[in-house]
Amino acid sequence: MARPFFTWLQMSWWGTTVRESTWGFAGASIVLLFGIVLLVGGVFLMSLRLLGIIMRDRPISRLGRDFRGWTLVGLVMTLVSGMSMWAGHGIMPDLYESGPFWLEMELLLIALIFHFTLYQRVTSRDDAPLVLRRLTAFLALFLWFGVGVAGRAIGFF
Amino acid sequence: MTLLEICQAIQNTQIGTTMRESNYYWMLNGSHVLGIAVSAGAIFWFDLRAMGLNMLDMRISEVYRQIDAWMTGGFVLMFITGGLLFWARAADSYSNVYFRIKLVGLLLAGANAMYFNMKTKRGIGGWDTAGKPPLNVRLAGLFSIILWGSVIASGRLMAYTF
Repeated sequence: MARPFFTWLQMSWWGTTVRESTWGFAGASIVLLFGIVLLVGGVFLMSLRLLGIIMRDRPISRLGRDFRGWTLVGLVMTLVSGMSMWAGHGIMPDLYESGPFWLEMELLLIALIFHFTLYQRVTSRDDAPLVLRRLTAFLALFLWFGVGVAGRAIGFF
Repeated sequence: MTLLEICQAIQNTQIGTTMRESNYYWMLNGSHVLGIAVSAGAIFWFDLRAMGLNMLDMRISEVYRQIDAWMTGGFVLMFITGGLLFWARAADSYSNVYFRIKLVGLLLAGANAMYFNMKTKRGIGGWDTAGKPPLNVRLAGLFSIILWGSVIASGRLMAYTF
């Protein structure tokens, strides 16, 4: 079922434009990295706060507000550039057959749901139980780092 | 011995060859990318404060103190994993134009950080709590983002052109 979508996406004007321009694909991968810096960097620092390692004097809800905007900017940058790389990817190697690609997408789906539910809740209140804060921090780090490593692995398999 | 010959010797060492041909070479790449999120992530978020774009009610010195260890620690992780990646591809890197751009970017980013630490920061008493710090402080933040950004970009392009 996904196969026709892959073909359609890669043959669309978007995919063709990225693929045929000299800097399209490389440019998208650079935007992706900048997005990762904002998104994962922000999530990383927020997780350190949830674990009580940095900025203990600043309420979690306050810091959550500080980080939310730019983290969202980073998320949009990664999604737009990542989709462009998917669309602009040639048929060799075939992403549909790529293990790391599907792993990345599965982790990304879980990460997105987590980000806008549990993570959003825990980072906007100061009365979340300690164990829930820790769980949120570890999940955030595991999921977003997992998405990153799986994504980087695509090029090697 | 020329610089190129030294790089070739490094690349051809047993360790260099083993890393390059290992099935786990991608993990080295992966941790280098994760290191970006920690090091550049922490640096960018401090730069946003220095530019007056985020956490305006928090003292600049306090933001710096809180994430200093992570900026430094992240950079050390980047330097180690990057050094190992270079070891495996030293001669390939030597002739790669983006590697050279990356080295220049690293030097300039280092110089910018040193100038901020040794010169600009001396006057911190006057702008520590400022929502909009003086121009030289905001410029230090902007230069930092641009320079580290160019290091990241050229590092990414380098891997495309081996």
